[in-house]
This record gives sequence, C-alpha cells and structure tokens, in this order.
Amino acid sequence: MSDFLKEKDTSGRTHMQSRFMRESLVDKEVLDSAVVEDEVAILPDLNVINIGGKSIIDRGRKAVYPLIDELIEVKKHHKFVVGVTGGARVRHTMAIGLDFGLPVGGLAMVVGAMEEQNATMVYSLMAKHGAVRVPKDHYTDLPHYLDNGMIPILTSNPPHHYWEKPPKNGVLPENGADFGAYMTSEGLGSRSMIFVKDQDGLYTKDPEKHADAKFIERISAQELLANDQDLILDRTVIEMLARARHVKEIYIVNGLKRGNILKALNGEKVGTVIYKAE
Amino acid sequence: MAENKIDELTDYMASSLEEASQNYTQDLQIFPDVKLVKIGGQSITDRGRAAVFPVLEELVENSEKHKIIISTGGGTRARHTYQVGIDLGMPVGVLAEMGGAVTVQNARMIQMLMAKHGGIYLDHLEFEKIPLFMKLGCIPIMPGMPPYSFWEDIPEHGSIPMNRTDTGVFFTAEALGVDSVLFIKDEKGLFTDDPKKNPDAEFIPKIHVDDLIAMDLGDLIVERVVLHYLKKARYVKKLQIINGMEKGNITRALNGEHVGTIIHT
Repeated sequence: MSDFLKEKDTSGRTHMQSRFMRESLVDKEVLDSAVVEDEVAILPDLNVINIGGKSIIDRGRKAVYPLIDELIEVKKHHKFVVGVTGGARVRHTMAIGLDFGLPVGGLAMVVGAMEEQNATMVYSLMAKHGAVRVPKDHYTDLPHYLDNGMIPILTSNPPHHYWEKPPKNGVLPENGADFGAYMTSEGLGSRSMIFVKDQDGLYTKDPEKHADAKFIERISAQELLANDQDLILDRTVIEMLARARHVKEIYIVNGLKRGNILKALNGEKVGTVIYKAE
Repeated sequence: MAENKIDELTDYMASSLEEASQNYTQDLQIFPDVKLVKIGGQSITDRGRAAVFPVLEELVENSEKHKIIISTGGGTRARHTYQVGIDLGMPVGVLAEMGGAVTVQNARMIQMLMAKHGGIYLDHLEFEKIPLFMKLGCIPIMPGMPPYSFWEDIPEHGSIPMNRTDTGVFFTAEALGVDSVLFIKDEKGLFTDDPKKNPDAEFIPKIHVDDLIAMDLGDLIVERVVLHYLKKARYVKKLQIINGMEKGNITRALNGEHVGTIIHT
C-alpha cells in the first residue's frame, strides 16, 4: 500500500497514511484519543536542581560557596543538572522594559540574559569540579556529560521569547525560570525536581512579614491552585505539575542550610513537597 | 561587597519593579504596518504547485502595496510524525520539536520559490533584522511553530501539543504589534463543523471570540488555545480566515475587505 493518498473527491488534498490524516487536530475527540501510553522517560536517573537567583546567588559568596561545596559532595551519589535563575537584575530589566512599554514577548526576550550571567558565574566556580555549560539546543548531549561525571549547568528560562503567552494575572511574563526548570525535568522524565531557595519551604503567608505564617510540609498542586496563596515559585510550575506525566512531586528546600539537597535526593523529609493528586 | 549593600540593591530593584508594573502602558508597536499571513500546511502547501503557486503569485502582487511576512503551517507530515511519536511513547516536548521541523521545511521550500521576488528565510530569533529586510523590499518567510519545543505545556487532553502553528503565528503578530492576522486555508472560513465531513455544517462569516468560545464547537478551524490568547491580546484584534484557492481573496483581505471568516474581540 502506498504511503500517500490523493483524495478522489473535489477537494484534492494529498495525505500521508496516518490515523490523523484528514483529521482536524483541533477536534476534541481526535485530541482525546491521541494519548501516549507509557510515555518514555528520556533520562530517568537525572535530578534537576534549580538554584534561586534572588534567594541564593544575589546573596553572594556567603550563600553560594557552601552550596557549591554541597553540590560537589552530592555528585558522588547522584546524577544531576543545575539550573540557575536570574534574580534582582531580572526584576530591574522588567522594570525598565515595562517603562518603555515593551510587549510581554519583548520582556521575555530580554530577561534570559541575566540568567546566562548567573549560569556563567556558577560554571566558573564549579568548572574545576567538572561543570559544563549546556545550552538548550544541546540537551541531546546530556548523557555524554552525565556518564562522564560532569555537572551540566543550564539556563532555566524557557525559550518562549517573543512567543511568551499573555499573563493571566498582572503584567509580567509568567513562564519564567522556575517553569523552565520544571519543564526540563518533566520533559526529560527525570527522577526529581528540587528548587533551592532561602527559606525552609512554603508557608501559608510570607514568614518574614507575618508571625502567624504556618509551614507547609506537603500539599497537592490542585489544592495550591485552588487557594490563592503566596507562592515562592512561578504559578505556572504548579499548573504544569497538576498535569504531570513523569515528575509528580517537587521539593522546595532551604539552600542556606547544609545537607538539605542530599536529603531531598534521598527522598527524606525536608522542606516542602508539592505533589500531583491523582 | 558588604551584605547590607546587596540587600539594599535587591530591595531597590524589587520596589522599582512594583512601581513600573503599576504604571505600565503597553504601547510599543514594534511593526504596526506589517501584515502577517499564514499559509496553511495541510490545506495549501501539501497540495503542491497547483495550490501554492497561485497563492504565492497573489502575495507577490500585493507585496508592493503591503509589507507582508509569511508564516508556514505543518500539514500531513506533522500528523504522520505525531502518530509515530505517540506510538513510540514520546513526551509532548519531543512531539512539539518534531512538529516544528516540518514547518521549517515548508518555510524553506516557500523561500526557494519566492527567492526571486525577495523571499528570505527568517529564523525565530532574527526578528531584529526585519527592519532591514523590509527596507530592502524582502518578503520574510518564517516557520509557524512557536519555539517552545521541550518547554511545550503539558496538554489538558491527549498528547498532541496544544500550541502549534496558529499559536506561533498569533504570538508573532502580537509581539510585532500588528492588528490582524490572515490565515490562508482551503475552506471559505469557519463552519459549525468540519464541512469536508458534515454537509450540514453552517458557515460563520463573523463572530466575536467570546461567542465562539461559548459555542464550544467540537471542531474549529484554528487551534483552540488561540481563542483564549486572542481575548488577552493587546494588539491583535481579529483573525481572518480565507480560502486562498479562490483567486482575489488574498488581495481583498489584505485591502481590509471582509472575505471569509473574521473572529474578532
């Protein structure tokens, strides 16, 4: 049977034989039926560790040096990539961009450069321990680096650029570095996703401003989305987590205290775990 | 640097962002006079020369009068790649990446066809060069798939990426600050159902995006997510879908006439 099919009726379209030929990929029934069974986990041993820009890197040597020592220790036990986010300079970039009246895609286009800076600095500090910078279009090289005991340093910001979606709330791009890091872990089908911040995890309110803020050990993504509570991650991460197919829980740990990352990687109780309720 | 100095700088940057968010007037139209035109993949490109040559000819005729950027769809090869990918268990990010490759092929082929008329291939990250190309009288041709690749949203239903070429074209238009997007297809426009399968499907010449969302049609001529993005758009106020197989429709639509279907805000 030929792979090609020319429609005999008046419409005259040509198709390749597939169950989606002639179908509209907008049709609800077609979409519902197009489900991947047993989706492939591309790098199931991989852990993604995302270092906060504002929470860790902007604090300078005092916060970053000990964290890097810890990561080098962790490397003896686990395979991981390090994502790095932008921090205060991202905020400043956005403030200037908003003042110029840039569209949301224009803002998304320029913020990534600040993360590149932080990634270059983290790489420079860790290069002697095997760190390597891996840009997005080189993700297919990751097995090579990981199998040779190296630590790939990624830029977390997603490649949405001018194609950034309009924000649901407020005026700032919502698919930021946390989203990018989570989608890296989910897309690669990785073992875990750890967000390294400067507080123990999620609280019901900002603990620095409210004495009655309560610590949250474990909470579902769905519950978090239903509450309108303060998050210390991009909300889009929680939205994706609620639809996750591989990485169904994420950790938020305090990177200013030693030992937390290893505990999280070993599945011990530490920080806040946000999970997908099935 | 002393730690309090770092804190001070961080606080300053946080407070200036809050102020800027409140005063934000999104008023920069990067390219207000460009007309963005999408050439359908399955509907036009896959038909080959018989459909594509007349469409390109009409676009070239109009390029003296209008600044045109062309964007391409995927089509039947994208559908085939989704089928094989789904069977092999590929994650949505991989499917999005593969779908993108087909639109790159289509853009490259259309560039070759239009080279003698100034057709020039425009990569996703070459937006900054558009002013030069326009000044030289070129017609930029870009792949329609948005660059989300691995970072494509996990779909609400199934495994096919929700954000495909209509989304990519829509956000290109919104980022450039153009006011309308023209989708060239092989149907008159939007119908209440797929007219190729259901002869009772009724034609909809003009509809408000809210009404269209409320109708909750099983099938649509544009990606569903685009309707929701259109509602939030700052610049793009309407999408126009026309039958490019009928000579003259492209010219009329570029001149602002109502042919086909207009979905508006």
